[in-house]
Amino acid sequence: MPKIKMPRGNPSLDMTPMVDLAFLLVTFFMLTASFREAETVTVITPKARSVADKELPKNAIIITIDKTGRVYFDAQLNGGNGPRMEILDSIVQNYRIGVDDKLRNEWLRSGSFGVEIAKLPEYLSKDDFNRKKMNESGLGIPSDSLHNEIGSLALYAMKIGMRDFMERRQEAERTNAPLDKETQKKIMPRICIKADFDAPYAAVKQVIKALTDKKQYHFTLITTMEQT
Amino acid sequence: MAEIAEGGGGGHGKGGKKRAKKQSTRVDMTPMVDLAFLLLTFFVLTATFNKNKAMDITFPAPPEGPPPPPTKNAVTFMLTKDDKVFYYVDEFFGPESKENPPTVLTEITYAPDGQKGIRDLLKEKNKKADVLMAELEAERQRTKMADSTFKKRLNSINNKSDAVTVIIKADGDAKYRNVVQLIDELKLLKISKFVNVDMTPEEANLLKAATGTAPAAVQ
Repeated sequence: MPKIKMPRGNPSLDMTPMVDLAFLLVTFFMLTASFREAETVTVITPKARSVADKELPKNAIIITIDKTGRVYFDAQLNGGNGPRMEILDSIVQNYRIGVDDKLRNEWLRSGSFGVEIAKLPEYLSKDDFNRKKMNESGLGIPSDSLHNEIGSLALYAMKIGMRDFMERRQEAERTNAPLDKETQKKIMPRICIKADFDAPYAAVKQVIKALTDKKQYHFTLITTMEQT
Repeated sequence: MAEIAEGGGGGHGKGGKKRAKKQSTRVDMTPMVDLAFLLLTFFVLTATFNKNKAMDITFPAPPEGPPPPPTKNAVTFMLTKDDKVFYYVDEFFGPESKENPPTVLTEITYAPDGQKGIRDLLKEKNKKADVLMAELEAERQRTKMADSTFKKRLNSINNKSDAVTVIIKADGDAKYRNVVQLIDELKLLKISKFVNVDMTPEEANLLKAATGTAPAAVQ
């Protein structure tokens, strides 16, 4: 059989599908990237080496202190909206502010806030941009001993969190599956202090005093990892 | 490798006649693919993960009356602006004190081991407790001690008076990160006896003399 000589053509590869593939990949990663919720205030926490990579507590009452010393409060308790609404109820009851249903719904998704409790209805009625302006034009949540609002907020949240925690613990014991210490530590509500690394220590100290005045002595300081 | 399609090759060789060359409109996609993958690789490699960590801390309940005098082995760190740290050991004696020499503040830094930094100072002061803690750790490995027993015995080592007590005093100019750095250091050295108290006016004056400026008032 005679050798069939293949005519030598010039091979060329159509690259269009490759581009499709590349953009598909980019789109995939863009859609599956999970975004943190938009923070009310961005804080760069100081570095610490003494803690191994420990995940953030889930049942957290977060007190944020920015670099000018303003204090913000947020509560992300287990159980989501229920406990969060109860915190608002406690605030309304003790500070006698007026919130209608619309503002209540706003509260559920508002994250952290940094204004005096008296101004909370006004804060909730604004949009994100104006809220930020309101936060930045004020002095944060008062933490001095005459107006220990941050202490009260933390206390309400802690009470609600601890009550739910006790219920869960008892429920687990009732069904003969008691929670071990590790799990208990994970689901217990904790007060977390997230302060900017340049925050004046005096502001942090005042917040801590505000909390110890309300008999809260255990805190978790949020830091970032430092390469040793 | 893909080659550039030469669409204009057909028009060549027609002599000097001016003729509008029919150019092929095919665009080579190879550089586009290179670009897309380069971008992808860049973002995958440079995405940093914001590792937030949590440092547990328990502040002591406020003392009932005036703070108790420091135990025998105490170091007081005074934190002030510009990340400066001063310290003195044991009790504070004012400049007018007659029986004891007045306290002098010494500046100190976070130098690594062997360079007379804070770590060396604290290791020196906590030597006895360190030895006991190392023995306890060895025992734990050997006998597979229960966690609760280990914690109890660790606490009893730390509560004995020869474990160092660290007193942290920060003035109005100190930054949060200064205190966190110090507490971080203490946790690394496993020193658990520390308190955070206000500065006395005498100490503030001494600090002012040491740094050369008046410290801001602490609320």
